[in-house]
Amino acid sequence: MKKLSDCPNGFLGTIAEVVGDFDRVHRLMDFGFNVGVPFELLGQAPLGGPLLVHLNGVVIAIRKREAECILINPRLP
Amino acid sequence: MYFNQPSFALIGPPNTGKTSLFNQLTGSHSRTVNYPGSTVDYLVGESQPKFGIPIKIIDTPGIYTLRPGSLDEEVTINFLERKSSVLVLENIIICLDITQYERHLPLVLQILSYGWPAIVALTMSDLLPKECVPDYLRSELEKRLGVPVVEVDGRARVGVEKLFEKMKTLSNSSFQVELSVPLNREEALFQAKKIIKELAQLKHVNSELQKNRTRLDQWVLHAYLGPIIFFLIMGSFFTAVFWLASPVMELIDQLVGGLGFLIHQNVHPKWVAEILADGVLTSFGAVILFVPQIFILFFGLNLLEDSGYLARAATLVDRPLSIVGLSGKAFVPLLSGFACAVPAIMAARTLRSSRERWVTVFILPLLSCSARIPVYTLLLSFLFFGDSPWKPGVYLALIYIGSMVIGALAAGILNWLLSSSKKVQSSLNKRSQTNHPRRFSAENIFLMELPVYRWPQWKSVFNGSFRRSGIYIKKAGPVIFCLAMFIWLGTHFPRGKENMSETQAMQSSYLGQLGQHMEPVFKPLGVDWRVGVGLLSAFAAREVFVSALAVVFDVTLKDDEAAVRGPLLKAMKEAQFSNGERIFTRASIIGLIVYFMFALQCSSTSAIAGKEMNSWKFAVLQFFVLNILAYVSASAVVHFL
Repeated sequence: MKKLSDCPNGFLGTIAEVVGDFDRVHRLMDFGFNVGVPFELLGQAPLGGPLLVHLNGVVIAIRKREAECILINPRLP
Repeated sequence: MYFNQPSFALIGPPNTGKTSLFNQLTGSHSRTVNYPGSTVDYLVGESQPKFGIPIKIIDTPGIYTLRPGSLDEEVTINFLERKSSVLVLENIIICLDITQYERHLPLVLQILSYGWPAIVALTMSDLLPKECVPDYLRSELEKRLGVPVVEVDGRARVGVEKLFEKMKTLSNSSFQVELSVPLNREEALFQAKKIIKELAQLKHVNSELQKNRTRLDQWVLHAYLGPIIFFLIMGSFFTAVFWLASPVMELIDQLVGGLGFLIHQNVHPKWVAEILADGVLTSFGAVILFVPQIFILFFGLNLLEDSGYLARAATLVDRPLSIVGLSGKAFVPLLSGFACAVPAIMAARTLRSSRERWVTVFILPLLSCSARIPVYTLLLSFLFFGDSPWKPGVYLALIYIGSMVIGALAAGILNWLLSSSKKVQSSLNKRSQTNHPRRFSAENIFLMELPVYRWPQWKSVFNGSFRRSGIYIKKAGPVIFCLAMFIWLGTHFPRGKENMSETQAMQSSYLGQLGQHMEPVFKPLGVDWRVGVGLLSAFAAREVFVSALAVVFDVTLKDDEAAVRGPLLKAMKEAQFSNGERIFTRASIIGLIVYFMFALQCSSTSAIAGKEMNSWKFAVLQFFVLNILAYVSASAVVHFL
């Protein structure tokens, strides 16, 4: 399945699964990365920084490493 | 004074306007309270008289979850679970950001399921698009959550009275609460989904708001413009901290000098006047001298935080900081470190990863704090005596950049040491396990919510800055004061005879004798015992070095403090070792600069580091490592130049 970290800018999708170690998964869920939630990948912060994800009305900056834990489905038009 | 008063705690996720609401309810009458066993503060205040009966209001650190990830989150959760011994919860107000209710509803349901008497305050309703009717959402939520829901706007003061009426009613009907086990996350998510589905009308709210938000971020987080904006904002921030504060600092200096003069004129006998004016008053001056800078620093930080830029700045520097093993979260403590390490160390408590926190607190004293400026200014103006005035400025900037580079290198090395050594790693984990029942992650996860841009609220920015400066005075003040007193006593006792000059008295004082005994120690630094006494005095506060030098080199201080530097520079030029060699050469001056760049001379920093890390071993280790590093590198510089 496709990872959030592999998505191009402007990608619309929904979260399919959050995988990884306990701490990471829980922290991601605390921030609203729950299964079924739609998101939009807005882009990347300057200097190769974190990814900017729009999720449930808020923009969240997330490192590539954490974005690799998030498996996604493309959103149907 | 708070006895028998009903109390309400404000609880909710970060950025939901808890503190705004707190300010509206209490006016500006509040105090920070220290949570025992840790150092996290929370705010307690009494409701404004205009509301009628007095109610105690508590502001708590924001939480994302009932599973604490950092020290400050743990405080709130301990309140909720009745694990806090000082503060017993009675009622709670849950703040729910109406524009993000989908995301925060599960947590609200979890908090409600404890069974506390609760009111839900819907905040940020002013951000909703016009076609939305918050009142509809309010009544629907009230039905489904089973507790009073009030729409408030902490900024525009709308709904605060209504909220207070509900609080009165609720506190009158208060009874002994039986706590139940909260919902687990999955259940809460499920229930929240159900509610959200029924309120589907609000679906479009988020996307509408979002457009507004991303428009500004296109500039602020632009690949090239972003860093430029960052440097412009940070540049003006630093300029403000130093240039705005300097007239106020001068004023404080003159006030202290003038008061001392008055005491000398009016108080007899002479030794009482000396103790009062030169000892007590000057030590007190050492404490408050840096308050203007610290206030401006906090003011700027609050301003950046309130407007929403701080989260963007942290996001922007996350990648560069990750090279040395830190994250964007460390940005605020590091930034504060350039004004004063004491509030900076306190700011490090928001760091989730125990390793990142350890490294950040350890390297903070390496960043050039403002107390070093008088020292650098003196040394640089000696080095460039008679040269064009821009030269010292350029070198001062170089010293700052150098301190950043050194700090970054140190962070990288420490991180490498900590991660490569299994033993340290496990002891770090064990320490965090024993100190905190729930282990905080040693792993570095950077997740940052970028809140909506808003105009800062001046009043709350002001209040917040006053409060935080107050914490500095309370925490660092006594330590700085006592040490300044101690050093002063050391340099003035035993008292010399009447006909002795100040320099001779200094020579025969305890600290003067110690300095002479320690002369061989100062030798590698290329200085004699007199400068050594200055270095020893600098352990009270770094800037004391300058005034101590003035005393040991017998520069007569007139009432006009500002004129010290000229005669002092002259005295330094003439200063010689007993064999006739000059003390202050290019090598020894650069050596001193290097020494001040590395050395941890600030006793309040050590005190705070020990308290905050909950480990005196840490403070002692930091003290010795940094001072030995300073000594060795300064000696090396002197040797090779």
